[in-house]
Amino acid sequence: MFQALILALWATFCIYDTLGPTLIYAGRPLIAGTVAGMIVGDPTLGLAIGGTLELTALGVYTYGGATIPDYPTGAIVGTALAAAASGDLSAKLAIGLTIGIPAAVLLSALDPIGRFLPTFWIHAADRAAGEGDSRRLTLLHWTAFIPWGLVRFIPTFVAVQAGRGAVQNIQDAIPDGFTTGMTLVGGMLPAVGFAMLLRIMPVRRYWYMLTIGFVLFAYLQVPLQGIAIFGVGIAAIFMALRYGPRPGQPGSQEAAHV
Amino acid sequence: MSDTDTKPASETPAEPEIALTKRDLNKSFWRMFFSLQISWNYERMQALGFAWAMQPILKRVYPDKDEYAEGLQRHLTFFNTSPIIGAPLIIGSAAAMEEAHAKSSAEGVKVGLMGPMAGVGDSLTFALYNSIIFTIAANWAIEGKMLGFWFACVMVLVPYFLVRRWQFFFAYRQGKNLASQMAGGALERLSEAATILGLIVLGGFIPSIVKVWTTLTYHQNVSVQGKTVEQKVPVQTQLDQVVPYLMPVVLTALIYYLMKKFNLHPLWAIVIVFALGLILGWQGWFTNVAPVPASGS
Repeated sequence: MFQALILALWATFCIYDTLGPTLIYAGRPLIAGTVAGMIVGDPTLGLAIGGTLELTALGVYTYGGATIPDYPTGAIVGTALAAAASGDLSAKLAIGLTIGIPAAVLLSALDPIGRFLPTFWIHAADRAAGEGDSRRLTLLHWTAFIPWGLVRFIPTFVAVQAGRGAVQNIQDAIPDGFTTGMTLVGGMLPAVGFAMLLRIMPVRRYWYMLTIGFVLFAYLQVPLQGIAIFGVGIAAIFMALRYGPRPGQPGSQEAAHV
Repeated sequence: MSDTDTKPASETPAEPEIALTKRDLNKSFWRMFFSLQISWNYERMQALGFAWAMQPILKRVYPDKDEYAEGLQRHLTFFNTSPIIGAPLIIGSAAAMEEAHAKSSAEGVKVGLMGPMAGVGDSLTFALYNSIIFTIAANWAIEGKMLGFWFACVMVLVPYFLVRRWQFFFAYRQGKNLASQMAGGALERLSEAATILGLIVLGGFIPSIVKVWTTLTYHQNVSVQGKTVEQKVPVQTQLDQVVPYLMPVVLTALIYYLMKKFNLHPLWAIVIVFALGLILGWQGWFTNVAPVPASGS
């Protein structure tokens, strides 16, 4: 009961952090899941579930207020329930993904409610602004978060509280092959995240840049951090070649004298 | 963009009668920092958050109550832009314009910049920076390293704060010049460079993060010294000889193609991968574990 409450509060903080300060980006499944793991006393499990969902959610961000799968809450519920399962880490991870991914999809159905209800607040804010009432404006601004929070708080609390007892039954009903399959799903799902990232990038124009990173990893075994650093260098060279030296630099002055 | 360019220069901002204090600006910054989107709604999106952040500025600049109320209403109009790169810049420059009593310029900068900044800001913060940081972090996390978690926390906490604070005060100092600077193509170049970096990185991340190998084998007859011997050949070894990490690339390319060409919804993409992985993994035909002997020869 107490743990379910803490987890529900954490789910609420995750959406607050996303909308507000973005201190640690708690709204990313990696962060949401890991802390949920700490709450239930199994941070390694939280890391594994959060990390896998993070890669699935790579290109998934709210652009212009669109509703997206609620991966952070899915990671929290998945981690909390998987911790109640038995078996080793990979068995628990499979349970966590089996619960977490559908939970993320189902919870996204509630997101529009949280986005719609504060519309009433904004009309009250119009009146407060017209009267120059600063305190009421402040109050309205902060209370408009209540719908946002509740659509995460309530489902998390209910799912964790009600789901715990059922986890063992779910696990017993799942054949071994399913667990093996889920492990492969975890390895393949990041392809969806990457595809979504590619979709918002001008692939047709700069597709050849992909080959540089590919060769670095596939043939030269450069670690990810190394590829990122190399990419910074290539991008800088590319921009310098395309647009010439930036004004104010020695190169541009020389060019001016020619 | 063109809206702001063609704005008539009817308002020549006079010397500010009442100057904003450092404290007013800080107050406005922290309000934006802690709560920009908490009252987000379908109708006017970030409007209330914007107005609340502007409130300390307006309170100082307009001692007259009616003018103050008018200012609050002015900033309660529709607003939505990228929260990390974008909003601080726009609020900072709106503050400078309100200080100069350039009311319609304050509105103009919002309308003119929120669209372009939404695009550039979202792609810089989320598509580029976050996808690099969180891919590296999640990779460590999956290997069971707590470092992944802490790395992501720190790489958000510090840069996200600094980039917002810098933008806010930079935009305030620039004031009216800002819009023309933004239009000078600096932003477009920045996002182009970011795109190139992003694609290079993705080229390496896709084969390293997407994990799918086949365990299938096929039989082939080879003649060794005149005798015909049946040999078991792993399909994966053959694939690796063509191009290593071919399957992760093909899988990602396939999903990308389906999304782009047939507008496949991401949820359906997840369902398809879910089903495919479950079946192929259940049957034991494919695995997410790399085969031990790499193509050494």
